[in-house]
Amino acid sequence: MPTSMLMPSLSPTMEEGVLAKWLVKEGDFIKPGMMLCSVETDKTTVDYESMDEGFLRKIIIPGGSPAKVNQLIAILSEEKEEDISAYLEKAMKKNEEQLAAKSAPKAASAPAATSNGSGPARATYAPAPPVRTATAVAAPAPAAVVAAGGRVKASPLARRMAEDAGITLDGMAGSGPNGRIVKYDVENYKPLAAAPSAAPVKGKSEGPVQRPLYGSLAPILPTQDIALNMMRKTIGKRLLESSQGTPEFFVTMKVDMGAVNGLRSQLNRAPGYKVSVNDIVTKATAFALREFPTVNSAYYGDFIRQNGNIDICVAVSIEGGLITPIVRDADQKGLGQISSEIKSLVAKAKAGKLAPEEYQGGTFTISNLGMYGVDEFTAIINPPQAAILAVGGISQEVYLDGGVAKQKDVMKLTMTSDHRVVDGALAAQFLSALKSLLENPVWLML
Amino acid sequence: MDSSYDIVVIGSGPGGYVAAIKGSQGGKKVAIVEKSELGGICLNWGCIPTKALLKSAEVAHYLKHAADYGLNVKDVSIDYPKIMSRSRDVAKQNSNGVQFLMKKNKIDVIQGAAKLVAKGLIEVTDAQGGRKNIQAGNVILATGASPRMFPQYPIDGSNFITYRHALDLKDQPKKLLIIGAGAIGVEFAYYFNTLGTEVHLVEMLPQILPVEDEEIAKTLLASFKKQGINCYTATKVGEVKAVKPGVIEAKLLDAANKEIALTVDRVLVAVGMVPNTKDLGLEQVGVKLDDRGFIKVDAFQETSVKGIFAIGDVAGKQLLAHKASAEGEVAVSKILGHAKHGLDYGLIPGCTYCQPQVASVGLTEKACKEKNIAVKIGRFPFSASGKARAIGHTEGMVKLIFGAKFGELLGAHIIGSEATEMLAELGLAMKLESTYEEIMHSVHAHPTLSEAVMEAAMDSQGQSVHI
Repeated sequence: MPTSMLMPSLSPTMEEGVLAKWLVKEGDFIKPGMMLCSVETDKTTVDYESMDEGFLRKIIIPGGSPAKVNQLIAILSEEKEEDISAYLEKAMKKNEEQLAAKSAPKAASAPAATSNGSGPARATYAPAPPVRTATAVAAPAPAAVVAAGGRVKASPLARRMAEDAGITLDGMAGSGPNGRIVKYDVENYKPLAAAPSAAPVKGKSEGPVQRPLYGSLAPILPTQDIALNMMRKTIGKRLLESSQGTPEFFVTMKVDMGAVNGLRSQLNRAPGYKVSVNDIVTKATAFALREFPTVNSAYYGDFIRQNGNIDICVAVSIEGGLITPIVRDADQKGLGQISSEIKSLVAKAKAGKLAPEEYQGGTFTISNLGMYGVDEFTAIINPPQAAILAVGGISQEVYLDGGVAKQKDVMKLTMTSDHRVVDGALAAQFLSALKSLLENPVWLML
Repeated sequence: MDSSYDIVVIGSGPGGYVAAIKGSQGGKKVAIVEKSELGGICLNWGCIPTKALLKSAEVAHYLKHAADYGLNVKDVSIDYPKIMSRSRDVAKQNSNGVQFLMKKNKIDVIQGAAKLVAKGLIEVTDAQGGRKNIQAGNVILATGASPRMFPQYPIDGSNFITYRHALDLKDQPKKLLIIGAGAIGVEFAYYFNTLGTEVHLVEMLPQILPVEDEEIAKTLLASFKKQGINCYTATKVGEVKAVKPGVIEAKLLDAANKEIALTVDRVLVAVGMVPNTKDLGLEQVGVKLDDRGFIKVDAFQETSVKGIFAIGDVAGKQLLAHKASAEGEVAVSKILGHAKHGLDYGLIPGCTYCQPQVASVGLTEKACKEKNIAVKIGRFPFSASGKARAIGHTEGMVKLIFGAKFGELLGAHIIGSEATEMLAELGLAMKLESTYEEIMHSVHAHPTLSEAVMEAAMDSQGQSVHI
């Protein structure tokens, strides 16, 4: 007998997902526990494991297409050669009826209904090739509260404790069977640091004795196996795919930062502003991207999308991983606005309160390790983007001015490019344009 | 070298034989060394044969009360040797069952006493004194425990006996003094009393079944007194002397230091157990003991020597068969390299098979108080249960303790005729970190004794239907 396979709900707030890739093909025999397909949810990409057994007879939703939760995605059958045409017809009809029923009341009560969802928002957020539509942008979701009855596996006690503590269980690593979240996990859950300016972590200093970190008196560190949380899994998967699957190359350029420093000290004399080097680099990058739209592109396998808008992802290190919140339309915004947006995004990221719209999508990424005393480094491309800029710290360099030794502030920029989209000369031209902008930052006022 | 194995288990009780099977299922080559009968104390001289005896006592109890059920039974008499032989037969069948399981799982059974000669090398001496060496990648010590001996109670198998002798008595004692009201003492007290022995049960601590919830123990005490068992709590045993074979004079000192003089024909000593760590070569290979003499182990049952594990009674904590089996699984999963968690000792159920039965898992009310945990307690007496009334077992209750803040089940305590069977759902509830809601909203079949569990959960919220 044929059976239907439906789009799973992989997070409590998930209403729709993109069936990114099928990992099996029509005709394959599916066993419980087999990875069927990758599904991009509002939070991350998850490999969906089969709970059924049978032959995969028909894929209804092809790879790269979105589907609503519980929408028909494929048909299984017990026998390999079984006739499924009658079942398929019935299932498709039922599916259409369900979809129609779902979308009808939704549209009527849109503002209220989307408050918990990941509304369709802007088309560029989804990596699949969608069409820009005029759908209203949903209100950004508040940080997901524990959704009772969701498919997060958690014990009743863990749910109550999390609810009480105002922690979301979504994405929390569970130590119970099959990743079930239990009391222990909630008790030992470390919330992401509350403020970006958090003092050196004092977390474990509650005990009366402060033991030294180094030397013979330091405690012996235990060897421990740390389970991968959702974020580490996602970072691992995406960046491995990126570094293995992308023909990358690196171009480094040195920039004289004297003018930027001058501009900063002037800007920061304005009351209420504290513009960082990174803010200025972001703005300058946005301008350079306007000049070289090819760099502001994404690679989709069978086409390259040159993005019309310039949405810059800024890599932020947070406890347990990193995230790249987005400054939208950075080329349209003034330095003041960019600066305050980045500050607020960083604070939200560290508190774990970014809404999906705030970190999904983006057309170009900047990663800055300058504050750690790094001179220069290379970054891994954030797919499907075509390039990423790695920003080092500012250091002093001696140069000769008419035979006289002088000092200047320099900063090294390294761009990693996907050679399928950006060629070497273009990368050099882009960096050169960026260098000019940073050495003549007054242009940024235009 | 005669033979070598991935895992050698020493001792074939419920810890050892389960570990051996798990090891074999995990693809390892396993041997088990046993110096006596397969199945250890549990199957041969403990859990199983005592349950056989207790069933005889229960049947006797029913016959005594047959008229209550509308049946007139005449000429009931006790065939004591038959009760004993039935119990021995049951034990034998179970031991054979283990033999079969070993064969089925291709586990080599080596008869003899094992001694660690070096890490990974074991010398086995058989009953005839023949020796052979076996090599072991990993060793699991599952040698169990034995009754604690006291010089003032010289165990001789006739005047002074342990549980082991009680399981093989040719004649029924007329007057019996039982020292210690733990599970063993309490079960024998019920058994002998029901069969007509005059039983005196003495406990030094203020309650019988000292590890159980105070309220439950009090309920059992009241029932025991009603059944005619002489119970002395907070009472010390003074001089106990066999003045001649079968005539023992004992002096008890109660809490008020008042002396109670008894003359009995047998004394059953059931005061504590000591781990079997002697002659195993532990010092030789460097396996360390804790200050109570049990083998020191980590969360995965590994001793101070890598590759040597200890499980069950010899590793301390609760001396219970099911705890031993569970530790055996932990040790083997560590050996197989997929151990995630050690055992949660707060989730080990405890059962006593007298009538009414006592069963519990988790914290007692007193323990919650000592830990300063705010609780909500729900109780449901079997006297309010339709099923209990129908079967004539209205004694006892279900008592559930929930955390006040989150409503999680912290402790479950049942006293009643089928308490030990009813406990399982509460162990599962605790393991799954359930709250009163899941328990009270699980529809329980009617009429069952287990409905009392649901009602007790309701009662914790002041929502019980039938009280």
